[in-house]
Amino acid sequence: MSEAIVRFFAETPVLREALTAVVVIFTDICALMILLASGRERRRGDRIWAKEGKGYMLSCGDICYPLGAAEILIGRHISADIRVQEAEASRFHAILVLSEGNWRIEDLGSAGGTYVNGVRIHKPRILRVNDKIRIGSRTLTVIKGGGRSVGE
Amino acid sequence: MSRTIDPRRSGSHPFLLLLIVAAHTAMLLTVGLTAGFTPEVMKLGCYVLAADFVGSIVLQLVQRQACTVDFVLLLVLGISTIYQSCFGGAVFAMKHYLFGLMAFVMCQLSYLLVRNPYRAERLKPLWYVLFGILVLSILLFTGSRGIWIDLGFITIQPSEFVKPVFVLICASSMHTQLQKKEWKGLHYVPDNLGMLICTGVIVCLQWWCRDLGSLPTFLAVAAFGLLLRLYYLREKWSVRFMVVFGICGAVLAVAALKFAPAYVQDRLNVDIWADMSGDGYQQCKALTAIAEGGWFGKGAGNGTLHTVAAANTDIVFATISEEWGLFSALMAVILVLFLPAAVLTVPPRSYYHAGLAVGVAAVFMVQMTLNIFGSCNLIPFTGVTIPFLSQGGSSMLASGILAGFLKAAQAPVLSSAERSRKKAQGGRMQKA
Repeated sequence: MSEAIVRFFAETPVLREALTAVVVIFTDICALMILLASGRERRRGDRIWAKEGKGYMLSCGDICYPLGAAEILIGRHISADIRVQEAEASRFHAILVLSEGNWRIEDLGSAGGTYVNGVRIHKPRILRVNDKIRIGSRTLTVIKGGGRSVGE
Repeated sequence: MSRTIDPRRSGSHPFLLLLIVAAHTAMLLTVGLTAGFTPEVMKLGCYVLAADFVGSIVLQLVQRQACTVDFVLLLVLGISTIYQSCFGGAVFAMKHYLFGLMAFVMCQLSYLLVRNPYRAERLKPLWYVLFGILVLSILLFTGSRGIWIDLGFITIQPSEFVKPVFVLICASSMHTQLQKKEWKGLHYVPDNLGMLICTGVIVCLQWWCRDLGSLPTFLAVAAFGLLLRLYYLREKWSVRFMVVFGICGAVLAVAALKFAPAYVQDRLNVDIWADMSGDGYQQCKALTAIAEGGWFGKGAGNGTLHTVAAANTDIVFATISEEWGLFSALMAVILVLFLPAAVLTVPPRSYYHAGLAVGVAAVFMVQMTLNIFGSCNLIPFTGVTIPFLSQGGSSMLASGILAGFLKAAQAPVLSSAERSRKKAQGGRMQKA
């Protein structure tokens, strides 16, 4: 019986080709579904991040900056996560680091200095909600959001 | 009534696991109908489906916030085992299957090791020590014209394990880039110096071993590591420096090509169709096999390329194409590329993990390019394997470790979460 099926299959290449095509399509569907699942994982990852990062964001007037990574660079440089395009700001001005469940701000030896609640910082300082960070003439306020960015 | 959802649990994906089992079953059915339902085919089917079920149970038990990498790995390893079992006749490739399982385990272990980026970076001295041990083992045990250590019952290729260690060395966080030091008026970042020294050591070592085929993979990892550092803190690379750096690189590349060993020169200049029985033998056979296989292949086990040397490693793309068709071979390649691509859907939360993901993507993409383009005579033949698809224990295990890095980039665990978990565990223990 088995041999007859194999012989029939060998004698009809169209069948074999069709089955190969089905396998490819099936595997592709499988990959597509995994891709969709990874989209769901992204949303789940956002929720986890909101918990990890306490949902902290920086606000400057109408603009909100979500803290989406464990290290956030503030400065004039094009690679900075939060760009402060002012002459008083250094290219690499300050960095926010999430460590041990707290957001800390560290001045990177900037010329103009980094001020938290009006006090210039010289060593890393833990941030709390409503703390005001001043860089040049720009003031960024620490607020608590849902871990979502403005665009979401 | 409100419902509390623990976001750390990813929930179950029975549908996905069912799809993976169904995809493997369809492939096994094709093998059975083509090669007959022999005991070997039944054995292959039982083992592949058993791995799916065990993998599913493990994933259900341990899965956390992201498991895309695990699902793709499960799918690819099953497909790879079926491919490898059918080259030139359906015989269950037990060795490849076992190494596949071990790669899956290595993926989970390496994930546990590097899921916390702070800890992974603190362990950097250990990565340098590992790198040194591997380099020494190559220098002492492989000889100047070989890359294998023969232990009698098994052969190990230590250069494959250098890849994940080198990726760990090349990844760096913004904070590490801040740690500048001065030596006689020269400012440098120790981490960057370490990476450049390791790159230099690898170049010398590969040259000494005559394993220049792997060199582009390492150089790509280093190049991407360097590229990420361009945007890191305090690395004020001027345009002038970049131009000088580029010119030096180009001069070195030209010099390397000019003074490359004779066998490399031969491969660069070989006309495969004029030397079909000599240096061009494998590529001629590979290209012919791809053409004969067409879109849908000759059928599992009906190929002839398995008689050619390195049919299941260096020219595995052509062997798959011949038996399963170009469609299937491309699908398998895309599936492997899907591993680093899936990480893009969940952006890494730390710079160190971003560096790891980029490094792994570089390894996978360069190896695939070298293998496939080499088989198709678009570039000189290098003898580099395709991750997960080619046979080879060292390559498989190293690829599993690299996949674990991708998983860590997708599902990082920062210190706060670890601390709270330890607290919770401590509380439970006290209650007990």
